[in-house]
Amino acid sequence: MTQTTNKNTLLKKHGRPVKVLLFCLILSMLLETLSWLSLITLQNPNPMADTNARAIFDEPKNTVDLVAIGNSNVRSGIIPMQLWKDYGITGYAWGEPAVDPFDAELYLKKIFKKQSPSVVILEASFFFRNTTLTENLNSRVKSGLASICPLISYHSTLTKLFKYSFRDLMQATHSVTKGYFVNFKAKSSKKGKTYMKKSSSDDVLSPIVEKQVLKIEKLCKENGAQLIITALPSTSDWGYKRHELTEEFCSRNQLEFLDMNTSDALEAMNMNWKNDTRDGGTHLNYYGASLATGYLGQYLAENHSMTDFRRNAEYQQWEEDCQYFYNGISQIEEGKEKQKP
Amino acid sequence: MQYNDWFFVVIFLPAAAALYYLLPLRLRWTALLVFSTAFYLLSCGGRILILLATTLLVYVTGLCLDKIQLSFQEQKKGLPKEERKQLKKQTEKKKRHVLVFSCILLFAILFSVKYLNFFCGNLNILLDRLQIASQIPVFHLMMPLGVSFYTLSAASYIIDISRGTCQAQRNYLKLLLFLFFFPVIVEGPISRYNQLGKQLEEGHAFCYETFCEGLQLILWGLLKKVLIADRLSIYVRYVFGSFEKLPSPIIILGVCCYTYQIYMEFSGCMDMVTGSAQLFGIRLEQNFRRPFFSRSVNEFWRRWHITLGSWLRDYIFYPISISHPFQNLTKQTRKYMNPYYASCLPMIAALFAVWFGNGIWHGAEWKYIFYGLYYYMIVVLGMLFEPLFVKITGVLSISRESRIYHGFQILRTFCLVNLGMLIFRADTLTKAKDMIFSILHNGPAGEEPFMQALLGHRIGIVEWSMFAAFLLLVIIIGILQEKGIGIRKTIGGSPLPVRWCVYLAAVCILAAAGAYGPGYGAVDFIYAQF
Repeated sequence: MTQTTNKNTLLKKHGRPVKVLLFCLILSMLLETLSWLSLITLQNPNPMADTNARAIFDEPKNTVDLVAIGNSNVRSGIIPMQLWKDYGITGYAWGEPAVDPFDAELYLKKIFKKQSPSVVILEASFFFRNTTLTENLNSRVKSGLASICPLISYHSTLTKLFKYSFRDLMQATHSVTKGYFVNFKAKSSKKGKTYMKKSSSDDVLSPIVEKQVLKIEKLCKENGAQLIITALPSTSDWGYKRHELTEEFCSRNQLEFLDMNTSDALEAMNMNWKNDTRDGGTHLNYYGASLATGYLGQYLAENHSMTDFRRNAEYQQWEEDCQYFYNGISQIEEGKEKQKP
Repeated sequence: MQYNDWFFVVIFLPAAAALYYLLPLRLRWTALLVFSTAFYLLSCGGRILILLATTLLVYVTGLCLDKIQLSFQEQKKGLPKEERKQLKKQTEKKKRHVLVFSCILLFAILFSVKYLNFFCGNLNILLDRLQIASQIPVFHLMMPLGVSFYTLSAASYIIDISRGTCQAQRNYLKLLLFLFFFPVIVEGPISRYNQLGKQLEEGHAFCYETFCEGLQLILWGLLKKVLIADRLSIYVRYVFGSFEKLPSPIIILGVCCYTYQIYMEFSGCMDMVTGSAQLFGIRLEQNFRRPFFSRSVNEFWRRWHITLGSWLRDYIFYPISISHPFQNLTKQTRKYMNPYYASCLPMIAALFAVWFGNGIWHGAEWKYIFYGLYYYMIVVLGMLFEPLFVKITGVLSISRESRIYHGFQILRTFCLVNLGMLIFRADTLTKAKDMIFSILHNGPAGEEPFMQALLGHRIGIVEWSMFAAFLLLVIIIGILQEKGIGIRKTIGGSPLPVRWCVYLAAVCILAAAGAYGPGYGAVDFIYAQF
């Protein structure tokens, strides 16, 4: 009787760790399955899952020469196909809504495994997202977890999951927009004339963010890429204080900084805040993105000797994608013209 | 830092638990002290100095009160009864002086960080009305985390020592831990030293069952907060922000959604807090007991934020209502009026202090004061008209113990609570008034069509179905608990596959359907602002 009791106690004692391990194993398998499902529904805002951005991994190895990385401003404000058409640059826009510097580093590491861009553009508006130590710690943990379990990035489209058929889920991921998100809507910004004026603001560039950006710079150097810190035009995500803080940080660390929000840049672009933004100044629409991309292309041509791949036969697919992209754009514009009374 | 932050759930809490159980039993409280300090510093940095000063004040007061008591014990030996009585009286007086002085200082700290700007702002308006040119400057003082919670805990500690129901803590750090123990600092429960302080000092051996119970509670709390409350907040924000153009039923729905949101959020936070404390073997006081099963507003407040209610009862209501002046008043008025109403007088006076305190504790705004007084009015009217209600139900032959009458009472309480929540959530008192006006005048068709207002604002059929299903689950669990059936025990006692399916489903639903990540800014806990 005592022997049986001892045996049961022992079983109970050693059974527990096994049970806990088994439980964790099943749980991780379930979470991985759900992550996979969230990835193939193509609605995950995490660029590791977003078709447009994720398709960079489907590009032939070492063919992408420029990667622009940042938040939704990047995927709304840079048109890689325009860079191809005008300068023969093979570029990619890799933007995630509400990205943080830890995500950016993780994504860049993954991209460098497949591509070897000569220029990396880091859009600076996300530098000001996390200001406190807690926010940064939180972001660090979240981005680490999201790289293991992408499910945790997938939340804004719960309802859309129900709209997909299995065939939809299995479609190919080749992107002709190269990460750019086409949008023709126009909603004017009221802050166009004031947002870059000197004013008091609570903006802080956290030392943790600074450290992380320097880590990204080191990563770029190790992979033979030149880092350019950029601020795309945005009346909500940018301002005088942010410009000042970023400029000071860049000059302190000898980093290249291109702010497209300065009055000179906006004038050179001919940016019109009435028609060139889709949501009142946060994101650019197609017309605004064309202007910003044009300015960026000219800057790259003047300051960086980037290779023109247009005459290289190996890049035929880019030419085809470009034609497909602009055909699509023309069709949308024609449709808009027809709709006019 | 919030209890549903990735960093807290994945790193901070497991690290705290690991360190706690790695240390020898007698040193385990130091792990809690270290992690509570880290939590506080990460959450509000230098403002910890205010907390340290408060703790010092409370610590010294506790020692003083203890010293006075000890010296009384020493001196009374061998004294005749009459002199002993005299000495006791003197001792009580001394203790009262120390206590009053400390309480004034303690609440002065709270006043200066929480209410000073409100007070100065109103004084400036008054000066303006009186056409006096001078104005009081506005101070930009940052509130330390949990100041409303730890001030009440601190006050209860020194009052209990002076009453002789609690021993003074001689270790400053242990007292500090009691006041800022990281699971309770943000939203309570408002703890008493006798209940929590002793548990914190003792080291608790690891208990697998308690640990698992803690994890279950955290999971349940996260579901309430992240799955329901944070998603509901999107709709609530929309309704409270644009009620002028909405149909009346939508505004009513928005108010009910807010009640649902705040209940899920606050009780969810309490589940997370209780669960986190249980990971260290510490049992906290219950702060919610199915409040929406209440049959009166009084009962509602005995089931909602229980620790605040019991604090106000023990340290405000009883001392006022049983004080000599009010007892004398009752005696005198009994001669001239109905004994029932005479006995109500001290209660009416004490209740005013309680509800005024309850209102202003929630925030330095007129709407919160009005919110407290709204409940005061209901409670007092209910008390005064009680004999009339009894008569009416008697005349109409309505059984006050029938299920239908209970159902009516529950519904009535629910409606009154929702009206209170409207005042609580509205940006200002004027907005609350406008919103009530809109409910009465907008009618079934507002400027915005009903269906668009219902489904057009990031909350579609899937989300509404989810809210309804979860509400049903909460109601079923509530009914079972009211009948004395412990749902966690039932799940815990079921076969392993069933148990695991429940837990796995809960984690997966939380991860897949929770309202977090891009597009959902982290929603601050509502009560963390108080």
